[in-house]
Amino acid sequence: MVAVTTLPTIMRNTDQARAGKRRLGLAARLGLAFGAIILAMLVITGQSWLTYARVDSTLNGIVGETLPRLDTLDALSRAAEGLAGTSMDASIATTHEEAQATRKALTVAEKAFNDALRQANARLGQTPQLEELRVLGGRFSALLQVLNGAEDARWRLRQAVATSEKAAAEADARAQAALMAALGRSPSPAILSALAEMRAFNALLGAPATAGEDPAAAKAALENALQHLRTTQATLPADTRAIVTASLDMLTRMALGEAVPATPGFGDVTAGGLAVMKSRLADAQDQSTGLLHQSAAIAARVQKLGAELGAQTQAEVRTKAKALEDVVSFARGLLIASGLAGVAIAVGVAVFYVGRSIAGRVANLSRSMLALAGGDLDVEIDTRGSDEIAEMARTVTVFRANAVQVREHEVQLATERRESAEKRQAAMSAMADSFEQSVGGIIAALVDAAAQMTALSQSMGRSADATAEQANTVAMSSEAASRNTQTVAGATEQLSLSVQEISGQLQQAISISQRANEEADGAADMVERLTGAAERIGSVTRLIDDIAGQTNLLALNATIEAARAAAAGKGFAVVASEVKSLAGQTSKATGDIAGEVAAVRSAVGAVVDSIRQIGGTIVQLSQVSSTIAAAVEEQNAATAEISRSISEAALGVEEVNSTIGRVHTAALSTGESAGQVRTSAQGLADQAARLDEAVRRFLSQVRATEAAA
Amino acid sequence: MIRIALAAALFACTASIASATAFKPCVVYTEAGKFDKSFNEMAYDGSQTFAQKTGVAVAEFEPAGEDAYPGALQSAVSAGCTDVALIGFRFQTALAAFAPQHTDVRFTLFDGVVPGANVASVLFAENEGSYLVGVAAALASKSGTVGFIGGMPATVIERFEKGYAQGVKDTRPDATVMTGLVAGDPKGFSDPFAASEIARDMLRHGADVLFPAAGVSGLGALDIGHAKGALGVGVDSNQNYLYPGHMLTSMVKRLDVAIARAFEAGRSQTFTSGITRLGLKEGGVDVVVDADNRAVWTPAIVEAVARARQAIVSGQVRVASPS
Repeated sequence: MVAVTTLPTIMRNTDQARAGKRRLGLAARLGLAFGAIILAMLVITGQSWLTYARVDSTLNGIVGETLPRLDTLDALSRAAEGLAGTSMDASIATTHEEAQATRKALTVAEKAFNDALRQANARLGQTPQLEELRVLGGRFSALLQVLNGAEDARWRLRQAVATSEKAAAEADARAQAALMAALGRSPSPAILSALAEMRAFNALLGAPATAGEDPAAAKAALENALQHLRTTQATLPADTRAIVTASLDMLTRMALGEAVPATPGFGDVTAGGLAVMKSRLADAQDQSTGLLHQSAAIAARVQKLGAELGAQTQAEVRTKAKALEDVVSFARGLLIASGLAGVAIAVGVAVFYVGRSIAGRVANLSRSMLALAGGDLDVEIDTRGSDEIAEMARTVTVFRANAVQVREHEVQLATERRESAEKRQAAMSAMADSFEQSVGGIIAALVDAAAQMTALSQSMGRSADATAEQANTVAMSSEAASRNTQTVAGATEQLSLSVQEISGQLQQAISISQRANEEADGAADMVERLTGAAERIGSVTRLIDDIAGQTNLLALNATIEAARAAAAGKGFAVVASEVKSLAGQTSKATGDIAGEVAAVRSAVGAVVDSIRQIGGTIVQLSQVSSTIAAAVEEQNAATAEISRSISEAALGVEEVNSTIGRVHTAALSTGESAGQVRTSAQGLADQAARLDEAVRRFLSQVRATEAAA
Repeated sequence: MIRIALAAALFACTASIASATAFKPCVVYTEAGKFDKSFNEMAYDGSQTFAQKTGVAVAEFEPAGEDAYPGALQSAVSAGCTDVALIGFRFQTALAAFAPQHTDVRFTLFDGVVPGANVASVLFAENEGSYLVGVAAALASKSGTVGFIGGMPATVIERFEKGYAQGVKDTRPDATVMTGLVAGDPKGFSDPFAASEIARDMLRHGADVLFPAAGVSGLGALDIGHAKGALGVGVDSNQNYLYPGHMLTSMVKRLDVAIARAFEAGRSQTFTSGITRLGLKEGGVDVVVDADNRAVWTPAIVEAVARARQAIVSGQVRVASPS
């Protein structure tokens, strides 16, 4: 009953402790541990994010800024190459078609270059190279326009010159043929000088012009030569003269050009005849050559600047790539370091906190409870801490205290039982000894007396004849016999008292047995209380099991959350599964505890049985004692019988005494009487032997009972 | 620079009184494109400066050829442009037909004249700029003979020629100014070989400074001048970069200044139709001195040009103009 009322008190105390003393529960601690791991993961994630942002911005710098610049530079350098290549082609063009094609190509290249430049302006920003490229582009455009003009003029002039020269050559041939024919017919100095002048004019007309030359001089020389020819022609024979005049007209037109009305400006480039055209052609060729040189120079410079810009940008890209490499290698180091740190934190939490602080303590507690269930009540129970495990440990210490109390009770009970048994044995032994001594003595005396009586009766028989004679002696002997009978009566009285003493002792033994029986019942009560305590252990175990179930549920939730976090939650999932297995282990441990409690309960049942058996034995002992008491009562009756017999003997002696006077009369029958006495004495001896055997049997029975008890 | 600063100050003042009336500035370039290193590019620079200063974006149209000019104008108007700047006299014909149909749009034509209440014709006092070129040429010439090559007979070319000749003569009365025309028609602006031949002729006759005002043709003259050691003068835009060290200067029409002025007028609702001529005083024309020609400019030239500029701006010297 006491145990039943104290357990709820303990539970109330634990409730109070839970409400008051506990600072951090398991859930909070596990939460903190997971929080630490999640924090480490967050730090790693944050670091990764920042690092990737850096890498990203550097990459964006390269992709968004440098690559378009490289593209632009590439376009620029290709345009520059196109410019240089077409400039080269243009400078070696030999036919009109080729020249036209290369000029077109030059225009295309120039446009491409200026397009690339415009793009470069927008993308490359202001650099000295770019500024120079713009200037070069402007120069090239200007140059190209001039070159186009010069080339147009050159090809037009070349054509015009070729046509005029052909016409002039034909006219010349006609005139010379006419003159040669005339010479064949009738040679004259006029024809000869006309021929000479004709050839001189031809040489003059065919003379190459040089660039920058004033065409006026050549024109004047040709005019002069023509004037001479016309003078000479006037002296030619009439038939020849007509042909020569026509040729001269043609030659004049070809050499000096058609007379055209004056217009403002430069006029047609092919005006002025061969005299002017050839010098212009030379000019145009000269200008083209100069411009193509310039164009090649500009193209070369453009290529060089493009290469410089490209090199600059390449250097920038290299610098940025290097920076990117640095960032990436730093990031790699950082990620490895923070990953290791995260793993260290997780391992630390798992080993030092979950392993040591929770699983280790639960295992310790489990061991302690197993030891406790196994009966080791001195087992150390670690009640440090302020969480549920500590509360469980404190609850177990309460069980231990109860168990210790039960054990002490048992020890006390056993001691008491042993002491009472020893006392009883000693008392019984002492009683038997004293009984043996007293009854034995009496019996011995009785036997002796019987023997003496026999001898006496024998001597009485022998001296029966003398009896009469020795009546006085008989009277004296009768008196002595009377005294002796009184002594026997006293001894018998003493024996009766002793038997009564034994009876009282037996009553005491019975009452002790009854007390022992009551105490056995008390022990049974104690064991009942132990069973109640075991029940409470079972309920606490169920509570722990519930907690383990909730922890398991929590771990399941954590696993689901970890799954939701996907790859990032992998570590978290591992820890959650660890916790889940820990909860399983706790559940298993509480199952074990329940098993152990059941074992305690079955052991307690066995104890109860034992106690009941002890009670039964005590009852048996009590019954045996009662039997002994009955025997003693019988003994008492026997003793009373002896006493009565002794009284009868005394009466007989009295009768002897009273009849001593009549001994004489009866002396004859004394022999018979002595025989009767001897027979009686023999009966007495038999009786004494039977008594002795009865007492011995009684004593051995008492001792055997003691040994059994 | 002072003029630019003054112009900027003027913009800053007028910017504050600009109304919320619809204003969308647009530029229609010629087919040469906005990066032609010449007129179009200057107009582009000016419109960009304006856009950056005011925060108003300038829409751009680049027709592929002269045939596409009316289409480009239509595109500009369809795009909601309120102020359309046309770069060059070549838009004259197209604009003359187009402007009267779109009286709610303000057109500014540079270097050309189109009548109309919604058309501002901005001309440049080429004679004033050319005068300064003449002053510099007279002092830079060793032979005392300088050349001028015009593209074709036209008033604008005459303004160049007269201003130039006046500048030369005012500085060096004994100097000779040779003149030549490339052609009698607009082909004269695109015949560099003809200009080259004229230049060769002038060089043969002792000229050592050549001032071509003949568009692309002028480039031929400058090439020959450069090849034969004469100094060249750029025209319209800064062409000093073509032959560094061989260019006396460039007579530039400050189209960048002019276009910014035109847009600012549109923005501040002070658009005025009719002809405006921008001279030295307005910063409309100038001679360029930069890294490419600074070595050619002796202190005497620098001083004489500065004096001449002052004289023109102050009105002390009036530069003859044919119209």
